[in-house]
Amino acid sequence: MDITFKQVDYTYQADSPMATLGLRDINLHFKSGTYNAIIGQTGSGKSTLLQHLNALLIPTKGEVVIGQQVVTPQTKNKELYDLRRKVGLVFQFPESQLFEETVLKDVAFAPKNFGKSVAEADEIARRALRLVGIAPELEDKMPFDLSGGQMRRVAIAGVLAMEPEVLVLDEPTAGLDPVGREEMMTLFAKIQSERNLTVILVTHQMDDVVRYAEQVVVMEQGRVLKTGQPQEIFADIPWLHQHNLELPSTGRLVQQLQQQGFQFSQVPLTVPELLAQLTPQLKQVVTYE
Amino acid sequence: MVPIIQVKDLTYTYQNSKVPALQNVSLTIEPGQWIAIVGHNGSGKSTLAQMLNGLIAPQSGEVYIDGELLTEESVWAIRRKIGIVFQSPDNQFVGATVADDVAFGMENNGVPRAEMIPRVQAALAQVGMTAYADHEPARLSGGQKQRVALAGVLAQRPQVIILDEATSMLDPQGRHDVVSLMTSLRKTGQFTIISITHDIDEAALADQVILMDNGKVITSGTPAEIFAQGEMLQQHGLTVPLSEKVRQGLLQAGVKVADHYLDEEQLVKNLWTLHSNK
Amino acid sequence: MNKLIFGRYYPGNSFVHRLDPRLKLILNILFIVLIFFAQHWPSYVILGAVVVVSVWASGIYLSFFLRGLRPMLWLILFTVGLQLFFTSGQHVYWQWGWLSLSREGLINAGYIAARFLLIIFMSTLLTLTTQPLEIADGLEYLISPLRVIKFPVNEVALMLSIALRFVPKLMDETTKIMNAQRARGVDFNNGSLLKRAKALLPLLIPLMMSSIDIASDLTTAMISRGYRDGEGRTRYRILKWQMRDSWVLGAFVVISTGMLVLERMM
Repeated sequence: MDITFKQVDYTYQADSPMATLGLRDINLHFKSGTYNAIIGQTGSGKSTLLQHLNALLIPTKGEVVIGQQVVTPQTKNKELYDLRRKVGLVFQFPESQLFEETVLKDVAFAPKNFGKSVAEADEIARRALRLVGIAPELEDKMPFDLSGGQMRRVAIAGVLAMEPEVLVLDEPTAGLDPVGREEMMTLFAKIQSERNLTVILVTHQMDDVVRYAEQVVVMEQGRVLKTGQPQEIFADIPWLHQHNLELPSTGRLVQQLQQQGFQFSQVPLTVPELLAQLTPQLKQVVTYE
Repeated sequence: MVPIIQVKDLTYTYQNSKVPALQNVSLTIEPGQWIAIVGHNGSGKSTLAQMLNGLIAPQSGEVYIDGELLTEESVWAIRRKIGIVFQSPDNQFVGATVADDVAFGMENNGVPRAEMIPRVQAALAQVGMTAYADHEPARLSGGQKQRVALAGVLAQRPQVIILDEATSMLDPQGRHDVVSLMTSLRKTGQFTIISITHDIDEAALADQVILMDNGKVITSGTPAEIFAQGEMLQQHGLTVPLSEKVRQGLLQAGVKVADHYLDEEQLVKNLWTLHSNK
Repeated sequence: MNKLIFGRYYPGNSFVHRLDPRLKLILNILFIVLIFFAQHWPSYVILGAVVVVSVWASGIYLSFFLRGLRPMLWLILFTVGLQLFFTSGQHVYWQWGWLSLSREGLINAGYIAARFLLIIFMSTLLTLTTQPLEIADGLEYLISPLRVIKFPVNEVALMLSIALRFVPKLMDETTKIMNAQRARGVDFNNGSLLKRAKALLPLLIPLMMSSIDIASDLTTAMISRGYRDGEGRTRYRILKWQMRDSWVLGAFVVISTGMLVLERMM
């Protein structure tokens, strides 16, 4: 499912106590089946943008086209029901949305809301749970009795159970340890390729952006600063510094290497890329068989 | 020198758990050091931290702080010597404004108001939050809240500062601010810093790294000693620092890079000596 | 919900804003007592003038006060209606069954409406010009004599201030959870009453769980920072009674004495 933003503005109401930056003149295109990342500092408008992806927020100006549905400032809440099913949104710390008595019931909650029978919903829920790696033994447990990492998986299964065509992820690995983070990101990549989902990931983890994203959207103060492939975005290190953006973890080392005199035809963004460009510049050990 | 922290044979199992959160943990920490306790979530490192100021009483074993045994009688005096910054920036902010929150600990310990005022100011200045003294927490970023929490700890003039995953919920900017504050605090030499973390870059700044898993101390040593054992780090759910990943990769590619852990700067120097066009 | 709790304090630095919260609390109570002594129209003119001057001195637009009136509107209309139609009197203008519109009824209704308006304006003025925290501080001071009967004044005050501190956080949390559940197909705004009540469960349970988490984290943090109980604590935040507070109190005493004398004379 394609998603297109056309000249979208969003202004929070002046009397809202949550008033933060809105969005200004957003023009974007997320192609069906692609993996996209949105980066930018806290408060740059990423979360506001996210909430437009399944019309939790409706633009105050312009339009968002989500699949066949056009969302404009005039769109009524009732028209958006079907849309919400097609766009799954995983919020930050999604485990805080768990509420049912059992894991299975919680995951089956969304499909039931979207009109599936209990039996169907349970079946879908079981599939979603297997997908995120929750064992059948845990299905009848209280969600609150699980470990933090397991709760997060259950919450994500709860979104996947809607069988969405678009998966929106807001810092899904926040607070996880390195292994948990790695597992989570691998899981999303797997789901994306298996179900041919459109993924839109908001994150501060530039290594994940470099590794998974096909398109990167950089936001600043409610505007889109730049869009492009990771290679284009991360090649210009001074530009990244200027906009207070993080580098992939290789960034600092690459800079030091460059200062020392090493040459890179293209800025290496991952360890394998770095090794591939670095090794030829170094003397090899001659090994005698 | 009396060790600032000494724990002997700590064991603890949570009520609803079958596996112990801590098993026979013994440690000695000298004053003025920066210690990083690393391990994945659930490895027991936070339980250990909460035992150091008596938030959790060990089922067996002993805790000595500055030579004094932690008991029900000594616990309040010991809490004055140990300041903890917790993980959640929001849920440890007690005061209604920044200044109030910084003063909270001193209020509890009956510090006279005339003395509190300069101490609040000094602590806020130390963390660079003076301009926010009258702000309410709702208007601060996560990183700013953690700096306020640190100011609250500093105002109490503790001997030990524990950061219990204090940076794990922050964005890169907030994390950077808190870490550079820790670095500047270390320079004063007045504190023993214990950072509990799974961020390997943060651990790299410490004098000593203690690796925990399954409630046990797996190993401890300088960052260089620990990081050279990349496989072991991964086995226990942690990542390997970038410079080590690159060094390993180069070794495998047949480059005769140094045979021990190098930080990024050292690695660059080392590689330059191997540069083929030189 | 936002309108009820927030939007109440109107940031400013007017004369009324700067008054001691204790004074404002006391005056509010005294003003209400005074209203019940007012039986004749000249008293209402005096009380009305007090309100007008106070509102003017606060520098806040009248529309904010009217907004404060809105949630109470039905209660006022109901009470005034009761007075209007159920007061029996000699000068009956209109009658239908046991409903009657008499001159006495009209006067009574007028007084009731005036009392409501005066009280609402005055209390709205208090909340508009005083931060919740100041109100909590003021209350703590005012209830401090209860310490004699072992009432835990410090604890209650700290509880109140923490509760206030976490209101915005819980609001954020509410929005966040609502959004998450809406994204899972919950409709909070449409459907039958039963359906809407059921939709609250996925909101209330997570909210409760997160409150418990907050409470437990907060307890740990407070104990770590040496909090035991109210005993032996010192205070960083203090209230300072100023000259202007004495002047305002004095003026109020003079006005109310004048009004009471006037009432006696009529």
